[in-house]
Amino acid sequence: MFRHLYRFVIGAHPASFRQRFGDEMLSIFDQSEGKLSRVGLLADGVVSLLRQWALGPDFQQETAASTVAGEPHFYTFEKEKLRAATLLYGAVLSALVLNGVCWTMGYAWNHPIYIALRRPVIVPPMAWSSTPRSARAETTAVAPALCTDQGRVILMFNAPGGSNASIAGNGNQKENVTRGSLESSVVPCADIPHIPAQTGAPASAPRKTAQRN
Amino acid sequence: MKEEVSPFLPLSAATLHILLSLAGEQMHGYAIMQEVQRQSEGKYKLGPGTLYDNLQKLMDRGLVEELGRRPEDEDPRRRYYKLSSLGRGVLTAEIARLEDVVREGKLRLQAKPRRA
Repeated sequence: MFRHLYRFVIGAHPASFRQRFGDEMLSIFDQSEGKLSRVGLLADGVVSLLRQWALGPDFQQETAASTVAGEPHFYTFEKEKLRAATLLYGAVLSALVLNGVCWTMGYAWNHPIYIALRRPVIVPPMAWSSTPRSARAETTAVAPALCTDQGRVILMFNAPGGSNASIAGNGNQKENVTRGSLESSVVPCADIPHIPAQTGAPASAPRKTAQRN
Repeated sequence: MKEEVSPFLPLSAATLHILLSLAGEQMHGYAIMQEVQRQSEGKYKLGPGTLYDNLQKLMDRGLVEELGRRPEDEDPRRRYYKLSSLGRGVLTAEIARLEDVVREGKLRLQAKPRRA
């Protein structure tokens, strides 16, 4: 098994190095004895592989630089020959970085802290019922409010004629109720995310509805 | 000659040991590894990856020459290498440099420290 791995490592070397020294490296591996020794040779091969691709002479191959007698000449990065191996190295590195960023974003999106931050704030009916009458009279009082009762959602709104409309239903039914000129539907709590069902008075008991008028 | 070899100095530990191994006779890679281990009394072990990385550089720079395979060898995959004349010059210059370092070090260590 170690020999197969070592052959794979040698095969991953740049072609020029592999063709020149591959057989000799494998010959030395075949002469080694003991598991520890072979693991050491395998590690050495991996280090050599990284060095060849990252720092090997193939990466530093330069085009012929123009030299002027008596004057110093310089090599710049742009003059280095761009090779397919360099592009492959860059592509692999980019894919790894992109994968890491996507994983981090996905982890953060599903994290309990971020879920808590995303949860909407529901104002209970008790809070808005304490609004002064004068202030409430100025509003058109058409928008319904939400409260929950034993897994059901109660929509409360201001109906024309001064009467409160309170509509309730259980999870299996959806009622369309028309009272005055307003129409609404009753949906179960489970259909609305992040609204916990309240336990309290039974469904048949008279509900405490907030008075808006 | 001194100007010719100065760009190669100082040599790394691996390069120095490889050139030292090849200074005596022609060798194949496995023999170089064993010779390096013997020279350093087992303190410096050279793996084949490191060995051939360095051999590649040394051959590209003309310090080492490849002699090819020998059919009579027990393993026909082995190739033999030898030190070139430039490599011998570089090794000589490096040893002279190290001798200077050793001499200077001995002088400094033998001298008694002065009180301030």
